[in-house]
Amino acid sequence: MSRTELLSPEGLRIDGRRPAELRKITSTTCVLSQADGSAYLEHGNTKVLAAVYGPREARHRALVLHDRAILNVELNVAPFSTGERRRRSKNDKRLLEMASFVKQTFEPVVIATLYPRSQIDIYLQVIQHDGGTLQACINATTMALIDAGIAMTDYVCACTAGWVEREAAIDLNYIEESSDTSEVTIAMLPKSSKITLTQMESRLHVDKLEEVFRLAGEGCKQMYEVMDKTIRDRAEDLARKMAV
Amino acid sequence: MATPAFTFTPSTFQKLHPAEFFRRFTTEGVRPDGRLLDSFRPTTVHHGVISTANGSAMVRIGGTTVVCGVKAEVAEPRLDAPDQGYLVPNVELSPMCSSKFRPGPPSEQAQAVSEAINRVLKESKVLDLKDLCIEEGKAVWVLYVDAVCVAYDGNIYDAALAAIMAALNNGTIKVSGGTAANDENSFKLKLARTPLSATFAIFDTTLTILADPNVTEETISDGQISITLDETGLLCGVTKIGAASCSQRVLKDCVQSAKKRTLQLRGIMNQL
Amino acid sequence: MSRLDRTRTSAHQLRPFFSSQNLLNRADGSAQFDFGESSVMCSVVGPSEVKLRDEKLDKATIEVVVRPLVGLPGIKDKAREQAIRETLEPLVLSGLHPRTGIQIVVQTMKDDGCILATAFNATILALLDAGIPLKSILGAVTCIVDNNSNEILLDPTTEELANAKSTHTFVFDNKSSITSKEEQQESVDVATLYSDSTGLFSEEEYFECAQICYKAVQAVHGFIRTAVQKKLEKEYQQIHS
Repeated sequence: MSRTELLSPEGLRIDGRRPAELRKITSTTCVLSQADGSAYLEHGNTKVLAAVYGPREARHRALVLHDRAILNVELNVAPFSTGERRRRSKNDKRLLEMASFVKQTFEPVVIATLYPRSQIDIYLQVIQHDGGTLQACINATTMALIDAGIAMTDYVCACTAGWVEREAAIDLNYIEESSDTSEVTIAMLPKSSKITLTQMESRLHVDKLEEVFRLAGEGCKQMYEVMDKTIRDRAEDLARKMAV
Repeated sequence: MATPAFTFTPSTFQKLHPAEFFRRFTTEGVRPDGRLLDSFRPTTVHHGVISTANGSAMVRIGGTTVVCGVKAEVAEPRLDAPDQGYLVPNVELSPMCSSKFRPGPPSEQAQAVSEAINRVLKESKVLDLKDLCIEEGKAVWVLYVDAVCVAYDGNIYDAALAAIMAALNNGTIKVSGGTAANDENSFKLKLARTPLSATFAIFDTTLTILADPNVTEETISDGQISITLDETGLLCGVTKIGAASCSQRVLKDCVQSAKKRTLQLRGIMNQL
Repeated sequence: MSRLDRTRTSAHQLRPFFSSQNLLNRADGSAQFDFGESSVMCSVVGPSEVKLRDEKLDKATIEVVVRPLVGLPGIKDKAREQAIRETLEPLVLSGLHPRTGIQIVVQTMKDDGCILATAFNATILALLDAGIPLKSILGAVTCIVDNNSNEILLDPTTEELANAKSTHTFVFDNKSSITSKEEQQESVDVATLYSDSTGLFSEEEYFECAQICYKAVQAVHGFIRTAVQKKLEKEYQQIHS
């Protein structure tokens, strides 16, 4: 396979974005009537739906913690979401790993001690995949948790960045992601700028790491703006309806 | 001395005696959500929502939402039918869509709905499987039709069937690596007919028939009738399950109501 | 007119029935039912202890397991389990055995079409054998509309099924047949317990199939009655000899 040019001579990326530009983000909360909290998020063509059930009675007695709630994250990828149809079993290692990343990201942020002896279920459904699934999952989960009214110390905003050919770029799409680009996903608490997750699996020169990190951090801040606006709009809308 | 009346708020009453709560509504000819007994919930259909799929649709019937994607893949044909491709429908009811579904292998309901839809597609010859042949005995197209329920509020059969038919209707298969969707290297799926369905819940004690039951109505109902019709008014499937006996007159009424409903649903699907 | 299986002469003729009860000595009730070369065995265990999770406070939990002829159970069998369970639930007087479980296992022995109908008949015989209290008995029959002749053929074989335009399975209980003695009347308003139809068919065809199956089911009801009677007579003789 011939290598595709990921960066044009003018410095534009394959989908026409500048290196530090996020894809179009669309987000809504409270999309599912059955769930306690839910959110739908689009990062360009990556579409993720998150549902939160709980805090509710834990399914297995053995797992109950007497002083706090347990988080349970399940990730499901729709068979038609990727370019190639793959029947992913519930025990796909890759999915389990991703689910555990989400879980570990939120464990320090959710104030679980407020809900002892209970369980919070987070179900994620990837409807369409175009790179950056983990960041989309984390961002959708944040909004769904807020929608469910679960206490958290801060938002968690995630963003990926990578080294595309000769420049650092954020929010990589599927083509950029799959052509051997090094990619870092970070999740950040925007108020304190603390990082709660960093994930990188590919090779990246240590000199470039700082630049990539800085860009990802900026991406997280931008994500925060978008998510915060959605949440506030929703809250205002609700407040208006209640006042009437 | 009058004894203090033991009263509940309506919501407590609903939780304690869901069936009785419901009966009080139906005897007045209405349902708790404000619908009449024979009215269906508002329905919307969106075509082509998933760009990674060959065909896709999202159908929303009240609070039930189903996203369906069709993926085409090349495979070897079966030995007993070397010139036919195959169609693999699957309905997924994940724990996300309702708290009544548990994580783990597909629930019995999910499997039963998948099987019912599989039979309708196969028995009423929706698609000529010979159209999916690439080269006899060597390669055929397999159409994986996956319907994922993202929000469950009853009547999954109608929603899943409508989503699957809408997705198949806008399904386009790219024969080779062309980029544009409309070039000559792609072909649209030719459907012989578009079966759509209407489902009714039966209440045994009061002999009430409710159109398009939601999840609470489904759990307290005694049985269900599903009627599937194509555009010419030919029946593609009738299923009556559960509850005690139901007379032919009731079934006839349901068929009439289903005719009206599927006509309306067809109108919604053909918009845009 | 002769049918494809060459043993029958009429379109509305059923294949010969065969049944046998109390075959398995470890189960509380068991039965086998055959429609010609289609055969299904069914066992019933219960009312017995039930898993805490499935326990119902006011009635017995009915569990149905359908085993295919070969291989592992697939989605087809799951759909049949649901059909059988939901049809039996209103029939079994499960309120008499609260907080217990009734387990029904249905095993296909020979498949020559109409397995679901055969399974229904085997199940009801097994329930009778186990002495589970029932509101009424049921009888099931399948028919097809033939693709070439457009004729309604009762109790089709696999060969005939392959040539079907539509397939209809009906289950009727014996309550309506006892009360309404108006069989000479052409269209009795028959009460359907379970109905499952696929293929392409008109409304008239569907209701005509229902009428024909309803008449055919009377023979099944009669057979079940005789089978139970014979079995009880035999048991009575054994006790008193």
